[in-house]
Amino acid sequence: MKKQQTSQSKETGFKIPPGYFEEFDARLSEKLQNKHLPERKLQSGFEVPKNYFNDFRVEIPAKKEGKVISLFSKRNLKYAMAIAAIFVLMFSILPDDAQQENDFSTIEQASLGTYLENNIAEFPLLENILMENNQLNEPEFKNLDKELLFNYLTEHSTEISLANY
Amino acid sequence: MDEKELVQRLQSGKNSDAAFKELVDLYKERLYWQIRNIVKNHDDADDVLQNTFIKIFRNISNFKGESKLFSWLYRIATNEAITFLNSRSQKMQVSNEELQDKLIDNLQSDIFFEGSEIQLKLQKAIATLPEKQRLVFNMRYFQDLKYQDIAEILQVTESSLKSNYHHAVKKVEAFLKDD
Repeated sequence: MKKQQTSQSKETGFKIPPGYFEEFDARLSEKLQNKHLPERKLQSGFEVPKNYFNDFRVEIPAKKEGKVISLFSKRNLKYAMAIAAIFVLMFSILPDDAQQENDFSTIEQASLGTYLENNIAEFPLLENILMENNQLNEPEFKNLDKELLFNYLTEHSTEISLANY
Repeated sequence: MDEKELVQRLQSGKNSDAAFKELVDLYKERLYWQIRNIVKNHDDADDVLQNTFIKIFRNISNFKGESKLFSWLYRIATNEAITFLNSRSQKMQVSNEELQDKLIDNLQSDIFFEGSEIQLKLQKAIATLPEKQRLVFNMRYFQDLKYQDIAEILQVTESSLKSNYHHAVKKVEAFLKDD
């Protein structure tokens, strides 16, 4: 090898740096490493803080408290308003003489609404109709037969004796 | 410990806290590296790992045992990491590709990245891959996961995975040659 090198150098006049061929393999290997995915797997290079895995703890957030539903929620207010609406409806379809007899016209509607809101528990029948298992939903309510409703309320007028108040 | 027994303990509610701690100890490193290879940054990986275990804790009762616990956990970790990146790209109003470029740029000043020049080049090459190939490459090349396991985690066929990995390797090599 050395002989060939010397001979070649003499022929062309070209010279090579000392130790060129001895270091060639190492430099080629380095070069290949830069150009190809190395045979030997590379590490990702990612590091973690010291003792990260030893100190790692999972903090499970506390479960959220159950939703507190106020007795005086919008939902209950809706029911109260529905009851009030029934009475308003009733007043509108009652004959004038009946109105005069019961003197309902003297009751202010605002007072009636407030009264119903505050005393809803005192009307168990209507309260049950409206509250129990949500039996009466809005579409059904809209479809109530006015005449049937009037008859019902007339029959049960002793239980709901507003005139006394 | 037997995986089924651990799952039973987690789902029974009796000593489930102790069982969960065992689960965390058993899988925290593997899931961390799965996440870290996706999100690149340690702090982000830590956040995603926390969220992953919280999700596991809250959903362990839904684990039916139809797949291995290992692959179920990896799937959650992978989804969490991808969701994190998608959310990050939306917040930054950049595309996923642009986000990948930013993540790699940040590596150069990351105190928890001590990669050599070739390792940085490799990360740059990986960032150019389509998402699926990137996932497969990371799982196969860095984590030495079997094709069968990767297929179960990503819910794809093994042949599709092999093809993905093959293409990924070719692209990475081409990137390294051209760079």
